[in-house]
Amino acid sequence: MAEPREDLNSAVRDYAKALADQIQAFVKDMATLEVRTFTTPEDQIQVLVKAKNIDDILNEGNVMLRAGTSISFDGDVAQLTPMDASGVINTAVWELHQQAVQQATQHRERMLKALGEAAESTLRALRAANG
Amino acid sequence: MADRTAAWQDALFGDWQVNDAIAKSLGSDTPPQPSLWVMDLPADARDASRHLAQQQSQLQRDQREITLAAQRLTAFADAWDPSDATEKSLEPQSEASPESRLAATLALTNQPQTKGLLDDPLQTVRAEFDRFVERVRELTSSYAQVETRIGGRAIGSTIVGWTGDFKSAWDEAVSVEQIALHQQNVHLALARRAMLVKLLIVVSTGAAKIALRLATPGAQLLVIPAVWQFVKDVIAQMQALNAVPS
Repeated sequence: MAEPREDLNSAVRDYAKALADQIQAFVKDMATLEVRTFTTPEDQIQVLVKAKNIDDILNEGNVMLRAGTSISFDGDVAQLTPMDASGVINTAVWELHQQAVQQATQHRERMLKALGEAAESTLRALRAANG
Repeated sequence: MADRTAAWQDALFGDWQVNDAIAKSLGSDTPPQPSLWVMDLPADARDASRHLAQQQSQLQRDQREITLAAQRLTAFADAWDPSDATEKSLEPQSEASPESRLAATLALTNQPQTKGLLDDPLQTVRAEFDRFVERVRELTSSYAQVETRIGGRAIGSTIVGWTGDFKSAWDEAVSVEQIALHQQNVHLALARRAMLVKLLIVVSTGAAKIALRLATPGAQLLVIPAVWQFVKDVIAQMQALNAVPS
């Protein structure tokens, strides 16, 4: 039977490994931040709730992609800009989209901070376990 | 008591409905669903703003309480000495303070009936915490959808991937004021989700810090429910203090 301290060290290491895997997946998935803005005709949004996955959701109903932004981890930015029939940027949709980009960026920062704090606490626990 | 605890946990989740709850509402054959946050606001713009402001205040209160609980847990874990547990730690700092309760529970880990403590009441607390972990896991394992309704009509819906990708759909008839309401709603939903993740980190790392210093077989099993109870006690204490009329 293993000693309790060994059990605990092993549990902390397992937790650290799970966290490291999660951070690795996060870093892989966060290579690009994608923000998309769509519009739907009146009273169409509620049908989106019943979709089965993230890709299906925006293929259902009469959803129209109006603006998009991709920000890569190294800072490259690609944008899809909404234009009116006259060839002028639709500023209302564009502002709406820019606000979503800002909100998405802030959210990612918060998630990174939370993961960073978890990683820091786990490292401290690991150091204590090994010490 | 159990009902009050369940109500507290439900309140922490706010309007979040996790996958399990959504799947149940749609039937057993339903594939996994995103976590969903739906806020149905009053049609009157001022009432809608007031409702969101109340939600924001509640969120800030919850955040403050969790931050304080985390600070007190860190202070406790730094000062706690397991070899000194039976005497000094059991002396209450104040009557039934969360710290003295936690110290008393941890002191019992040195006694032979340690595992029996898991029968009751820590077994119940452990089950509560397991439920909390499961709900947070569901909330963060897939994407989440935040929807704003005004007077029952959906005006904006935002899908958020776990790394922060946003896909927003807007009703073409949406007004500038309604756009602002949806953005506030998205902020509330994501801030509350981040707060729940933080609470999970606080409890798990706090428990790890304490458990590393225990050497009694089986004692580690007690630490997580004891720390979860500590966090609940600190929050209940703060709420009781805030409820006292000045």
